[in-house]
Amino acid sequence: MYQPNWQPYWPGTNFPQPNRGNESILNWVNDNNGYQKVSTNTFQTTLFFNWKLPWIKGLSFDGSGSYDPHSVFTKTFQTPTYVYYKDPATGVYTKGRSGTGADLASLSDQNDLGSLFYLVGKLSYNRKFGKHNIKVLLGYEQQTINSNWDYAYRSDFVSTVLPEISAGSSDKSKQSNDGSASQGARKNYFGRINYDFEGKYLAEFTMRRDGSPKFAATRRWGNFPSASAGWRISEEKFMKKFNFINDLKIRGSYGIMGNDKVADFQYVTTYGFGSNYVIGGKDVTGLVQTGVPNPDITWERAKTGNLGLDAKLWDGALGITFDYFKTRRSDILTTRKAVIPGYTGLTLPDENVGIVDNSGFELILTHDNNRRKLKYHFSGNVAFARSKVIFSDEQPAAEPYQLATGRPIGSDLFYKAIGIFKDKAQIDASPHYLNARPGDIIYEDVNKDGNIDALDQIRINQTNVPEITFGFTANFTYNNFDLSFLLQGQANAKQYFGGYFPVMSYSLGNFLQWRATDRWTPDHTAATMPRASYELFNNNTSKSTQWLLDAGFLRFKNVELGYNLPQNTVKRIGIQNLRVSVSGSNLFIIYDHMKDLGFDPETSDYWYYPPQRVINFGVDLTF
Amino acid sequence: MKLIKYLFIIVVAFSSCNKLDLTPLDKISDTDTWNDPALIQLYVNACYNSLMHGFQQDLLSAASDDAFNIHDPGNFALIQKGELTADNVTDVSNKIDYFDYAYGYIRTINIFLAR
Repeated sequence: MYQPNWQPYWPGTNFPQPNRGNESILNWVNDNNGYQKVSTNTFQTTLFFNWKLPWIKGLSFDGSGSYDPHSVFTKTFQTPTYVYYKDPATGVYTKGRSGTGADLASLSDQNDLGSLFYLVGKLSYNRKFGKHNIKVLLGYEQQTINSNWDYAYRSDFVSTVLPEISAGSSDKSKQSNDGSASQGARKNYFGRINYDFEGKYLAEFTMRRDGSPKFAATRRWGNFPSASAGWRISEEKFMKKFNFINDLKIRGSYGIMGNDKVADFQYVTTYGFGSNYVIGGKDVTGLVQTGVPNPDITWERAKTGNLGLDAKLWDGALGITFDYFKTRRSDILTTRKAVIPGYTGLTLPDENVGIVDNSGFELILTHDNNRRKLKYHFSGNVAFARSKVIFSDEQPAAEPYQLATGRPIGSDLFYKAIGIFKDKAQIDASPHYLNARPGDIIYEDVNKDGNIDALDQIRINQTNVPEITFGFTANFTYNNFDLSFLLQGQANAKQYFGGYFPVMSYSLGNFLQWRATDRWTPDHTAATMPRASYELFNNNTSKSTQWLLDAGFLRFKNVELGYNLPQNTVKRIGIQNLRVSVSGSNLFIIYDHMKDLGFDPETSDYWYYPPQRVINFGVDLTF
Repeated sequence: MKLIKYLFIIVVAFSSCNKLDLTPLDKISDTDTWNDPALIQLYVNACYNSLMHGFQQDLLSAASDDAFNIHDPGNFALIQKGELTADNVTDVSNKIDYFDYAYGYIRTINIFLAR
């Protein structure tokens, strides 16, 4: 944290000033404090072949194998940095060590080695029998991943001239090393059958059988089938009289997908080093059980049904793509939250608990006009998706409004902020926190028991994942000019900006203007923001709706203007095509509910680096 | 054609090498642990952590009037200000919110005794 009144250099010199903790920010941003060099070597080999099997027409075999070893060498050299201290009496500058870093340089070398071995074989059969088109595919895939790393460190380099391990201190206590290894594998069989009749009736069936090393041998394999069908109505004879319809297709699909994204080896009991203790003045290594095993852990499943429609009408004057989907995720891999009491002393593994539904639609409308000199293409899209927890292994809530079941996934508990305490009299008249003061947030006593406690938290249905997203694209062409732009936005989302950083000043930082302007003071009691305080946490930093902001926005995302030089001009100078263009991204925001906060609406938290405004000038030459 | 046949054999040979039965390379299995007296000794070493020592950031004296910890990693200010409730006890260091920690070690020691 840097205060605005701090100076990087002593005035009139190029000597860095010691600031907070005798550090200088200059030493953090330049090379004075050392460097980190990462050299990566990747070697990729692939061998593939295609074999048209001679015995049956349309049958072929594709095989490919790859072996990709890679290595990463990371050298981190940390050197001491210096600032200048000024003698207040004589005004003489003396060079000295800055901050809290070491007086002598230190070096670490790390070697990461890894390899990927991948094999795939596919047997395919493509054949046309009259109006029937058949494609069959059978395949097998496997991969093996190995990796290991080691690390060496020495400190107290007498000189910084030779940044190699051997030049560091020979004292064993100034040296350290570490290393480990890991392995992974994957195997799966897959098949697909495609059928179409005259390009009018389409059908597909796929099947996958996946093996994951994360599950015990009996629970390892998951079968994931899916099927889809389509009907191009516009190809039917009875549709020919509707000649404004260029293309019309309805389609539907249903399928099951698997997920095994959990930590490895949760199905076996394992022990890991750690929890050292000091016995007899000596640091002794410990060994602890790494969680309770779950031998029954297996694949999480997502069943998805989808209905869709594609249409092109009046030669593109109207294009429609519509999709409705419903997904049910079951056997969700997560840790159990309820039922197991703390006195069992268990650290729980991931289990297949929980069911979540997610459903929604997506609509894309397009409009094309290519008949006149000014050609244009518009495309607008809107998508809606809402999830609902059907079963989660949760604690039976004391207040029914706190249950997560039946609400969107990730919906969280918040105190309901309903104003700011004006004075002592108002505090005495309403339920309040133990030590509430004038200027604190009033939290609603939702269960009317006269106390403000965890039972008064309500569950907010909206999360930082937007339920509605939308966009609009337009392209215009006129002679050699072209212009395009993109609008993008979201709605039905909430972003939480709580905690000490946005809410409190902290001991060194400043308040955000959004927070400070309408805060409570003894002279300004009709406030919308709580009182200022030097503390890190107080009653006002409780997780409440006061700090939950509407994350909806609409932004002008991209715009591009281009000009293609006329062909006869560029041909004369021996160029095929010359295009000049100017484009800008993130130029402005049309509406944004978090504007007052001073953050970008796509900011997810206050450490997040916002999207940058970029303006590009381009020249595109084709010879 | 001969080459292809050889490749096919190589592919089949390699694919049989791939095993999904992997073992962790950074952890020790149950059987190995309890068959090696040296590892059992390490297991017992770790059990001593149930007797907490004072040399940590969340010094208990920071919960009294004797000491003040500016960074307050144990969140003891709640106790000093008399604001500790059943709701926020889980925010406090496990030196105060002791039960889950203690029962965890009781289980650890019971496993040792059962073996």
